[in-house]
Amino acid sequence: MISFIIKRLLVAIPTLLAIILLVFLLVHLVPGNPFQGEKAFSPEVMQELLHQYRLDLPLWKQFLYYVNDLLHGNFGQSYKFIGQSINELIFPDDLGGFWVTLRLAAYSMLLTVPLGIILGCYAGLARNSWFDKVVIVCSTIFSAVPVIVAGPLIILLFAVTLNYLPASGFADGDFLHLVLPVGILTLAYLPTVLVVARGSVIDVLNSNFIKTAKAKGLPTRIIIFKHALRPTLIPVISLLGPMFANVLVGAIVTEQVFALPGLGILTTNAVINRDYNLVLGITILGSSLAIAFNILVDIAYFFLDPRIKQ
Amino acid sequence: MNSKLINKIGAAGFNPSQSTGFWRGACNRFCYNYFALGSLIFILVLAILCIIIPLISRHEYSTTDFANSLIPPNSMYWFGSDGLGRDLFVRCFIGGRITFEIAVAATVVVLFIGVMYGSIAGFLGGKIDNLMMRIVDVLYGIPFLFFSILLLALFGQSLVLSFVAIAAISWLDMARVVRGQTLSLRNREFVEAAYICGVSKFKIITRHIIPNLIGVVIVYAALVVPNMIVLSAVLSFFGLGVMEPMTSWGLLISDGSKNMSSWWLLLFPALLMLLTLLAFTFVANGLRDALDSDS
Repeated sequence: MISFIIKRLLVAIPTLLAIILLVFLLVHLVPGNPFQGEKAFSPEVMQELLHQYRLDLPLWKQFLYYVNDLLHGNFGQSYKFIGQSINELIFPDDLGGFWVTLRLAAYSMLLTVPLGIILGCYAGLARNSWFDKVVIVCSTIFSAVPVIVAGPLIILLFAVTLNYLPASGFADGDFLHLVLPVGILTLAYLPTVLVVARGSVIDVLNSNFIKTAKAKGLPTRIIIFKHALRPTLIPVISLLGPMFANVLVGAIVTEQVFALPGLGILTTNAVINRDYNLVLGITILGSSLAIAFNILVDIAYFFLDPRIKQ
Repeated sequence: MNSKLINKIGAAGFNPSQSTGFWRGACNRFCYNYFALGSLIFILVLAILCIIIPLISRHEYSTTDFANSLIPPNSMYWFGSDGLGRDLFVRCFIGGRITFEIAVAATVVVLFIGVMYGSIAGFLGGKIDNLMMRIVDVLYGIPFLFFSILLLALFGQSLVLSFVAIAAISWLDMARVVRGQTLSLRNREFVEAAYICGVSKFKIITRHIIPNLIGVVIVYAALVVPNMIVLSAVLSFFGLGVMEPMTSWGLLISDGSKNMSSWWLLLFPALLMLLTLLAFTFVANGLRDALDSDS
């Protein structure tokens, strides 16, 4: 078990380093520096600025310093908001930045996964029933319609025309303000979980050990909950790793649609202001979260699938 | 989202050895799937309209007319007019034209990179394959949206660069699918025969492997196009991509959602995009069923 986790970490660290190097090079190989542009600085001031942000060092030294900072949990200084660190921007003290994105992603994951498994299993168990057909048609349609189209249309319907729910804003995480964004994010990813769970249940029910259980005369309830459930969950769990990165990205898009003050707004502003250190920080944060979640999923696998232990 | 589908395509395997009979059969199967056929016709008609309407309309997409701003749909402005008095009907179709252009161009780039990369990795195998797929794994770790935002922000906002940037990160799935398919083709008799005849590796890939991948690639391309449409729309929401006065569906939806009291600004472009995305999904499903000769 422990050796398995260590092995997984040993693979994850170079992967993360490679990503950091790639993004770092992309940002730093762009000609010019972040202080050229609107305001002209005198050469002395420019020299001082470059020195302060360590931009006068050779690239490999800058990279080592950056990685060193990252190891201390420090994303560096913002190029635009002078004197403000990236950490303060991404993790503000009040509710904003990463906290909004995390909340949105976490809530919708917490809704999507159980709901997807239950609906998918139910549809798979009642294969070809009307319920199954409705679920399949709905999930085909929902998976084809992205947040970017469905979001504004839903706002138009529920918030502007019917006036049931607030259209945008966060209001310190008020429940009513979260209903539409969390709901739409959930609907966007529900089909993925649902379809996999349905397929998995059908596969498992056709396998030999279930036939044996049936032949022994076990009641259906015990067959489903004791024998079929665990193997059914394995493909679903393996799906969750990559899905988490998608939901995180989806949450940022949803923020844009609903004007929530999360990482999305931060990214937009960073792009407009050419604050590359901030974009760099957000990209690295997102990637490391995705990788960490993948490791968690692998560990969960370990508990669910006894075959891996051997 | 489509990984299940991709696995299915990869696992089922196409049987291209039936040559003409196979393609004729696939075509017949597709045409009997009225949903898919109707969707394909819808997409083609829409594409033609996107070319023609901006040419023949009495309105110009960029001409502003402040006396007639924010007019609800009527006989003069079929889809209404926007805040600058421009006709939304023409703008929807010129936006559609740009959206289709970006999506198709990006798909071509995705197909080219994905097919080359995947077939080379799959064919060479061994350590090279391992290394190449490791690189794909690393790129998978990056949340794609940040990466395309970063690329777009760094390399300016020209249309050409925007789709190259989008395509540059979207070929990963394609490469995986093609590699899987190539691995199964690699040990087939006709490849061995070519190898024994002394055909070079590059030529085996381009002349023998890639033609046999066409089935998978067509189905996958039908899935990539709508993804590219969505991605370009998402980037519009971040203020990247197409610039005013030119427009795209993403930009129109983004503008429309900022001004909800004029509902037509949002409704028409959003509905057009929604119908297009659904149509592409049905076409992709139809193609998969038609080309999957096992079922």
